[in-house]
Amino acid sequence: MTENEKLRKLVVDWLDDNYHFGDAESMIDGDDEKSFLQSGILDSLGFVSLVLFLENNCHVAIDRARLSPENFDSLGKIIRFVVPMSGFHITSEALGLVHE
Amino acid sequence: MSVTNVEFLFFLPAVFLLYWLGPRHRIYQNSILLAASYLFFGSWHWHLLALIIAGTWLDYFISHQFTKASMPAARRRWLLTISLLFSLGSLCFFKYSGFFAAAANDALQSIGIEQALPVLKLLLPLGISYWTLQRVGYMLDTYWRRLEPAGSLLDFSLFVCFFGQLAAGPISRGSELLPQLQSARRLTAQWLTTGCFAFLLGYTLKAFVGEVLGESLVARAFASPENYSSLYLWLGVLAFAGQVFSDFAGYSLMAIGTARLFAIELPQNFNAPFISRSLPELWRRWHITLNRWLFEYIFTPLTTSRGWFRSRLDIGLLLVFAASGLWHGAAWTYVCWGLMHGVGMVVQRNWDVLYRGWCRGNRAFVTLRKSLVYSLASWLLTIGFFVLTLVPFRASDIQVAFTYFYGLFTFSGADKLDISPLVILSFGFIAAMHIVELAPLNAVKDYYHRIPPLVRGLAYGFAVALLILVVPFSKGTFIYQQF
Amino acid sequence: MAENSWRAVVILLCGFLVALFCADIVLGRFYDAPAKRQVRNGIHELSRVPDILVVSSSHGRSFHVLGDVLREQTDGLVDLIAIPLEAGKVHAMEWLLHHRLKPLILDNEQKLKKPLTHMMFGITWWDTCRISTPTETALNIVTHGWTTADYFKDVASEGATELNRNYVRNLWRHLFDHSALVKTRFAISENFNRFTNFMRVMIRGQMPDDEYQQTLSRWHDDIENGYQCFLSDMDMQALDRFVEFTAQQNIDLTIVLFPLKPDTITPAGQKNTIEPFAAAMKEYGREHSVRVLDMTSGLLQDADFMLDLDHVNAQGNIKWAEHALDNELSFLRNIVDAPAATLQ
Repeated sequence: MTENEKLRKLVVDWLDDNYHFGDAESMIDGDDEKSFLQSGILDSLGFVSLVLFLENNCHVAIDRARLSPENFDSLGKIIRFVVPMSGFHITSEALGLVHE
Repeated sequence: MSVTNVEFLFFLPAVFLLYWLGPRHRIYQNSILLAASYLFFGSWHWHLLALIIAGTWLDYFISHQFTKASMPAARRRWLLTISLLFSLGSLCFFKYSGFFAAAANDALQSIGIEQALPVLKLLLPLGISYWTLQRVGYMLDTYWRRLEPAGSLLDFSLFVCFFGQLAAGPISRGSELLPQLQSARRLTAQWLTTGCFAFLLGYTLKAFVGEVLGESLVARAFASPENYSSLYLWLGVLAFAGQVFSDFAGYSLMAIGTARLFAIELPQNFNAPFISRSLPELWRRWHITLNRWLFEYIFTPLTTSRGWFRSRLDIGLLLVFAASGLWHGAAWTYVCWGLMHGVGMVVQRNWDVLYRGWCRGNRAFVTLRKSLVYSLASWLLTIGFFVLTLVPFRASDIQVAFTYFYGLFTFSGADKLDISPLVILSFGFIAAMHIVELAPLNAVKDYYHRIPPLVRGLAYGFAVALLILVVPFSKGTFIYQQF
Repeated sequence: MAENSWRAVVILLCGFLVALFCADIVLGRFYDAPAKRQVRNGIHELSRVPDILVVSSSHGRSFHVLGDVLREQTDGLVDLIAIPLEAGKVHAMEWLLHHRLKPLILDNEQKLKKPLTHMMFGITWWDTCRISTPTETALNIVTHGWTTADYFKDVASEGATELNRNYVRNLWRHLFDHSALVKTRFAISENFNRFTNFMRVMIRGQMPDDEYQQTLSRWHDDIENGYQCFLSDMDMQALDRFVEFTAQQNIDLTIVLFPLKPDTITPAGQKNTIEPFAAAMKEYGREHSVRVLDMTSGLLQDADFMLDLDHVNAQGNIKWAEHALDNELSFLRNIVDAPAATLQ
């Protein structure tokens, strides 16, 4: 499993576990560029929770200045933004338990 | 002047003609719009133009300083502080100095000091609550380097006070509006039709639906709630929800329509809020541009910061909604209203966390959550809560609000309900606007756009004819412009 | 056709205008809203010098009918121009006299070498009542009295305000004076209170009874308590200035206390307000050597008034004019010496 795939699974599992209970994949519908905010996958409250979750489980520190829909509004954007960050890695425990 | 005033019916066509009959060039177009915007603002109180112009120049200058790579972080912070002090300071001075001085006087009076502070009665600059937030958003975006500063002072000045949105929003992001102002615009048939349609729909909501509901039920019920039965009071507060929605969503549509006539798209401000099934959803649908501002520039930075607030989402929510209440008005009733929603959001969030736990243990809860029963119950709770919080929002003081609540829940006898057909029509109009937004009925909207233009033109003509006869003569002021 | 082509826009606009015009024509057939005489109509006519100039509240429209009857009875010899100021008030009418009428009267006198000789001033007790909010008293001056120059002067000093906005509102309304839709809209506001009442009157031929009783009881209250606000200093001082002007110009002045709907006057109203007002005005007339004619009651019946309970309807106007010219105002027929040519 590549780092990209790991992060993708982590986010989808988190969405499933916290918001969509098994429906996250069908909502994303194969389009990793689908806007979270516009398609109702995530709201601004959930967005904050996701950021906190990523910081806690991927060992990255996200600069506040870069917290914007440009970096977080779809699976593709998150992967492109988070994976290259210094210190990024996902522990196997994190992949096993994803809720808040 | 505001987009809802009669002068605007002369002003808008004049600016429209000047704008499109001149050269299609950015500098010409923006100059016309800026001159018109200053005239628009100046028609309210011209001596306060200095305030808006000084703020504009200061922020333009500072935002360009942020791009200098060599500038030390401390100096950038210092510059940002100056900008925020100026804009938020003016807002506080004009909007809140009276409120805080009165509150301080009350406190001092309780310890025996009389009239310690002067309570100033200041003229509130038109739309200050709106353009201040828009400018602060721009400054934070450029400070965080999420946005390139405006290319020219002309573009930026227009961004700050474009007359279409000057009086009461929608509050645009720099990334939405600035790029549109940085190139010349061309009039297309689509801009014209969608602009006129939005303007007409907004006018219908504001001048007809909002006024009819306001003058018939709301004014009477809130003037003396002790004289009315519970049923009447429930209708009164429902009508008020309808009135606030029509008034503000109507205004927003008129602003959006006005901007489209100049080939500028402003962000959506209302999206069928009464179909919401949770409070967070409601705030994504109601006064969208204010709420996203509060979440983007207060809630998110606070709760994801490295400081004490990190992860304390509940406290963040309480703070955001208290700020929202205070933003709506310098009065305790508004603060109370904001806090009620803050608490509501906290309860909702914790309920969701709890429910998620149940879902993990038993899939039956997932099925229940997706059922019609759950949807209906959450819709009723959400809208019921929202409607009830409007009581302190509308009541002239806390005492009246308590009387109103008391009346709502004592289920006293029924008096004669004199409901005119126009009130039913108004409620029906709001309901129809929401029903077409429900997923299964979305096709109705597509069908509407396929109707031949001649038929649509005839329908608009008859609608305007009817409006001329039924729009009440307005005595009230625009509710949201006071904020 | 492309959904949003310019051709589609033109077709849509044509449909829109056709519908609007059709609605206007159909409504015009269905309900003939009265065209209302306003200050500007009267001022426009002041390019000629009348024999009698009437300044009055909206009741001035009845004086306009009086003028028609007078012209008819004197074969066009005696000319009367009536200037009705909507919503009245003596101080507002006096403002109108000094700011708009006086320059025209003096100018006419110089240019046409014909001085104005007779004026009438038509009022009711309400026109001398001080209303507590100062803006409301000036509203009708803004709407009907101001010129464009007055408007811009006010905007320059005060900005666009709720008060001066009324000038623009009236201008906008004036643009559509010939539209049945616009005329009906204002008739609804002035005579029916709301659209649903208008529909009821159109369908059933009468106002809903409770609505009528409510309005009537408001009138009763107003008149019974009118004595608390009438003969206000502000209006009586304005009346003094009015009288002073006519005296200076050697103009014969008649103050007419205009008829009120009998139904609106209760015994208490008669005793508290109507009688003391008439007595005070007669006394004023004696003191200032001005003719005061009290026509408040006696002739017109309830059926002679409009649905607004205030204004005299068409049949009532004729009845009042003919009666007045046979009695109290009979002297008006003889104020002009017939020229030799017509005597032959």
